[in-house]
Amino acid sequence: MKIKPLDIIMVTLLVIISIYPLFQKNSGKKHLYLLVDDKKIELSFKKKIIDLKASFNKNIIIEIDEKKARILKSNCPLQICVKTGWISNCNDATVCIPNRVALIIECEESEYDAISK
Amino acid sequence: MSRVLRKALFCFIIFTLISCSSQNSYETNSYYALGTILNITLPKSKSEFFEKTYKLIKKKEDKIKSFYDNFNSSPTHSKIVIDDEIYKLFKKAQFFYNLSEHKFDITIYTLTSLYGFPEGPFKVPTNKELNTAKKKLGFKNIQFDKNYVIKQTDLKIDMGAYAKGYIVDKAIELLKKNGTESAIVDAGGDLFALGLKNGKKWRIAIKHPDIENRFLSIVNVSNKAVVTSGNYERFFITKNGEKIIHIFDATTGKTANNYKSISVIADTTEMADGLSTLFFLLSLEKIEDLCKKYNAPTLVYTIDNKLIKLCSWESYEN
Repeated sequence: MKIKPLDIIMVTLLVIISIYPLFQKNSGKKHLYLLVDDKKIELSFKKKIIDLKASFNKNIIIEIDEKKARILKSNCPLQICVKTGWISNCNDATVCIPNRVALIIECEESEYDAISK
Repeated sequence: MSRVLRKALFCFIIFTLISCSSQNSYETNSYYALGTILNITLPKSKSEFFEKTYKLIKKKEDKIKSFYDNFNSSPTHSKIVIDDEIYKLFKKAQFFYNLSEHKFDITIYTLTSLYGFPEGPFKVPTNKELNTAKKKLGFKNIQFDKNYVIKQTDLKIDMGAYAKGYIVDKAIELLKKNGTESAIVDAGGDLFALGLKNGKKWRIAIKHPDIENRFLSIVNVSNKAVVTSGNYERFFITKNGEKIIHIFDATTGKTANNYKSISVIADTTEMADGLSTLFFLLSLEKIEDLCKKYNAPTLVYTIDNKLIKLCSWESYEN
């Protein structure tokens, strides 16, 4: 059987397609969402600090870095959301119930389906 | 292209198409409910059940909350009418009370509410206030039957430690009745994983209390609940530097800050929820006895950072 150049290209292509998902594991794109009341807004992972007072009348300041986000300040009594600190994992969230504000990270691919905490 | 290779390419394409078509894609919707973020994950083909499930959860939450309000504000010795659902929740309270040798007690809210739990603002009550509360509380001071409940002292209850799990179970029941074989109902980390996700068990990560980006464990489950209780979210620090967490021992009236995190795998979310809380009040030996008895694999992370796997927890990790 004579191997043609096209065969080599095809085999290489098949091998690449086959092993591609292995490298994709847990590296699917992460999406950061801000939940305010019943609105869900996608934010980009760019370094910035956002005060929710002006746009949403919430006494909350959020901070976003390149791969993580947190609720920096909140006027809620328990401060659970501030204590949660940075979130960066797939399916993780930081939540301020009294203000009905949350930051959630969703991933296209993740090594796990939920976090128990 | 050679004939053999052409055949191989054909097979590859067919195989890829078959494997892609059998993969369900899933959708997660988030809601504010049960005092946290509620995430419901369903196959896209079942998306009409998002609203139904959320509504059921909200309805149960409102009903149970309004019962607490009614009970807690009712005068002592008055007969309060209850239905079967509330009766079952009292039975469960009794079960956990006996299991924990009276350390876990829904009437502890008489005392914890003085500290400001669950919503804050926090304060340390005076000794006089604490002593008065200690005299009033105790599950033995509640008389209940299928149709009524009576409090013998001026006490307050909170079933939050397992009622959230109970509601998650009800949501799963609704989904099953409607033919959903695969789903996760996750109330801020108290969750039930129904069925399989594309033929594989659901993977649940357990949050590390101290290190961002790391987990204590990742478990694979199907038709199981996974619930974690921790000392790292609901707490406050007193002026003397004492950490007061939301879980209290009813026999001493003291906060139970012996562990950082306890996770339990069980057949119902109510059981996993209740056990993960009452284990906070027990020694490691007692936890092991109970997790064996109730077949509830348990993961303990102690206050001095020791990770202890009990009752075959590790068998869920592979």
